[in-house]
Amino acid sequence: MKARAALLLCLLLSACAQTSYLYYGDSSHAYYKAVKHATPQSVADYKACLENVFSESARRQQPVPPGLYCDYAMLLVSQKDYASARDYLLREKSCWPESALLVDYLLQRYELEP
Amino acid sequence: MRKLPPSLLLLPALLLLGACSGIFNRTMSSVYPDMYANQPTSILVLPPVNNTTAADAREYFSCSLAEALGMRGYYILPVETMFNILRDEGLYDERNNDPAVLANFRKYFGADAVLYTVIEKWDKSWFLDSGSLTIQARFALISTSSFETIWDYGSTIRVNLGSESKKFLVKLIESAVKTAMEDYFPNAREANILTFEKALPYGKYHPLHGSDAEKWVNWDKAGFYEIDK
Repeated sequence: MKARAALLLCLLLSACAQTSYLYYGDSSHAYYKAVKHATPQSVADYKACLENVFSESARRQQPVPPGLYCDYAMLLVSQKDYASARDYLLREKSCWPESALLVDYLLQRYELEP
Repeated sequence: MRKLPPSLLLLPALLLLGACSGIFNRTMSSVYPDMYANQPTSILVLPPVNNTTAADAREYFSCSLAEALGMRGYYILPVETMFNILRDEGLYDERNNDPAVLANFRKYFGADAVLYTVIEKWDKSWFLDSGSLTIQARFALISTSSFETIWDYGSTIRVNLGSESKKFLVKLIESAVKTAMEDYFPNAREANILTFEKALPYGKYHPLHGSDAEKWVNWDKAGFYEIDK
């Protein structure tokens, strides 16, 4: 009887728990390490972390957090992968309309317009 | 005369405490009316000002603010991208409160508001079996159209870094190690998330947007909180 009551309480509590509407994963910490250490490995780890956020957000059917597509695009620009960078900038613009002015600025600045 | 039960004697004291708590709290919408009348959707995070001797504090904050704000439902202009632009324009280490500069942030990047952060304290302390990190910071959102402060708050957060072990020697060692560790980023991140949870209204994208106007917030726009690790 006590075990059933405890189980019911756990189920109720888990139902009440709110999951965040965005998934950041460990991207902020990885960003800090990339800024702090600025080594190829730390930057590669940050890039991998962002890719994980993208795939997990898709799995959860949540939007990718604001700015992350854009920061990923800038990593691609630094690696001279301009076509992919353009693609990710346009994803930022599509996902977050408030980014339109900034994305257009970056497309022009880095000559990524078609 | 019948004696009153002790619980009834407590009642006036409880009522007085309940009334007194209202003196020190007001609703979000009364403390931050501009955040409800003309709420910003997009925020540009400016590089934090570090008034402490902890050299890493600036990076701890600048790398964690976007997540803390994003989770409250605002569009945060990409931090690293914007910091690079500010460096290129010679604005990275400037105060950036000139209305002309703020207007340009709006015109060229679509920022409705900028976030100023001043880190006032980053103090580690350790004694025997307990250690702590005290983080004190002030935040302000400035509108890029009215150039007014539409939201501001100061938080002091003490992160307790002690050990949960019941053995004194283990507790001593664990708390010393926790206090001495070099990467305090998780603490800064948690402190910023907690600060905005306590005092920043939900932004447009948050599922609970508009539901917090009657939520209590400290009338003096400052709070002290503790986090146990």
